[in-house]
Amino acid sequence: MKDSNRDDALDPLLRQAAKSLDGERPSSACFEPDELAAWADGSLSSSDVTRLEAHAAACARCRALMVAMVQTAPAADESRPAWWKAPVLRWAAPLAAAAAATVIWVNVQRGDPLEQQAPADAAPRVEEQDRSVREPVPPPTAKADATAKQQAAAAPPDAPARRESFEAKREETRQQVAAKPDAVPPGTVPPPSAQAAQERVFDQTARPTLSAIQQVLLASPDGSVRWRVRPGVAERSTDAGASWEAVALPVQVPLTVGQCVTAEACWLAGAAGTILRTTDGRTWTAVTSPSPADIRSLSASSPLDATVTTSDGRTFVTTDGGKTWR
Amino acid sequence: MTGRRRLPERLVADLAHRARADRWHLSAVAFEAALVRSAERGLGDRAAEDAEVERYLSGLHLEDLALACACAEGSEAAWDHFVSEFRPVLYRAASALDPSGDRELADSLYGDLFGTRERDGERQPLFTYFQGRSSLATWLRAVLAQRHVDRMRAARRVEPLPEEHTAQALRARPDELDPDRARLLPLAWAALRMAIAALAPRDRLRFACYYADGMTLAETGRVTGEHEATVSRQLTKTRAGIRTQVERHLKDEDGLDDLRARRAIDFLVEDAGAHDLAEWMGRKKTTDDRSTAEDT
Repeated sequence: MKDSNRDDALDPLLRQAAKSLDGERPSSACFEPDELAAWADGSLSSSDVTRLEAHAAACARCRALMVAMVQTAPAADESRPAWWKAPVLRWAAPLAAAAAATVIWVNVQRGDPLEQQAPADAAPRVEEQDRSVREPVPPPTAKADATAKQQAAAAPPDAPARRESFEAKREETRQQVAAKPDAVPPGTVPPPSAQAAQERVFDQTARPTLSAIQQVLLASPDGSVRWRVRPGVAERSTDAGASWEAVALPVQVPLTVGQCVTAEACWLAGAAGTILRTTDGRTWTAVTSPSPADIRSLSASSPLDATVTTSDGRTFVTTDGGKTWR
Repeated sequence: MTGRRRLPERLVADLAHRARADRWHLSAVAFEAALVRSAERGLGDRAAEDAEVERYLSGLHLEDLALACACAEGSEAAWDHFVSEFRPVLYRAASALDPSGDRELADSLYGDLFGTRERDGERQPLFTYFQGRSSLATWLRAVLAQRHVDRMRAARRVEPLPEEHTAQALRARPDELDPDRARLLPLAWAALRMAIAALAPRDRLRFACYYADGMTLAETGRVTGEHEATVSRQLTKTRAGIRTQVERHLKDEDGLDDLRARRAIDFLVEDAGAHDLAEWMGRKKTTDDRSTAEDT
């Protein structure tokens, strides 16, 4: 029997095996209405969501509760809040508009608006979205003040149409530029001017690199300090983003999640279990990592207390600034 | 948070103002008690700093919390408001859960919300369990969902046992005389269960929704917050990963060689059909009634 056929033949087997692993009776870990409702509203922390999902994976009753919540969702909220309704993103509204403009500019340049995006939301923390895990579904309501980020991050079914429109627009602009007597030859960077800036958007040679797109935006709870972090580069602003000061990072790996707990204290984490912390807003130091796996989410409540979840689904907590984890 | 703590008056006053608690003439003491209950529930037993407590409380659905608290306190104005605003929510949810049923599920909830049950002579309104971490409407749906699911599961438990629990159904299949099968099949089953149990929480939840609960890709995606295409892709990846893990376990942990490991998986696949014993018994009866009679 070939492997591909065996996979299909395994489906009945997998059904039996999955059912056999369900717990027989409700346990103390089963969802209370308060927790279930917070899950449905998207107001649980990522670590709590992971914990709930781990329990529901082995509890038929709690899965049935999840299904019931999805079934009873009102028409204006037909699907469970997807990634953009996570608590971190709800808190990020003040910075969403500014970051969204960056996202749109960058993605127009790339021509793939739904590919790698800079996380546009921040304050107090931002996680880079792992599209391989979560796919966005259309927002349930279209509010008048919806940010460009939310529109750019619309459901995948919109993606092909949007890509086509960007490609068409790029080609149209190229033709317009070429038709002008003083058109800039293709492949060169035009002089800095308003029109040139517009044309450069569609110049393939000026495409930003992937690393330039993937960046983490952080802000302190009071909004007085902001960080933007790319692989190997961190910049700090104390004037609402008007100017940025480079700050050295001790590692050169991709850092994808972070949170600022005060104006001086921030956490960052990312590839290969890397976790960094600053307590003075100037110096980042690497703390002991609980795991070599990529860090997928980080939640911190103080310079000493943080919770991380790894790519293999494990959660670790520190209460001593990362010296020890449990 | 351990024990009952007092919140700063300034904070309680600020939160009460944001919650518009004065609409229901809700006392500061009652509102503070609701805030403290919520903080203790949401932040757990650890000693949280004041700033963290304030951040947590500021993120609550404060207006809903004040309404629920006022209803629990017996405010008629709050109760009237609740009935007019939230009864449609409950009826819609009940209808979604059981389109053929009447509103009995929703109506029965009203009594518990207001507190018709008593414990030790004291009224115990269900509203006191609302913590404000979600909207009141979502919490009501969750309470309704819990009652509906528990009622359905209780009804299922009183149904007669299916045939696979009869002695006839449990009799071994003739080809289980194969000694290899008798030895390899339990190993393969154990390896399969271990491979599934070792999945990451999200992968395992998706797997359980699709295989254990028989949900469609779209339904599974609504639970996990993923697009249908992502669910399909991830399930395919999970399935392939499980097969790889089962083989690895059989070889590395159980010491089987390649041939025996593949035989074990073949036995597993064949065995999957046999586990649907009702269907198997049905086929056996229609094709060979005489052998069935001889089995008894």
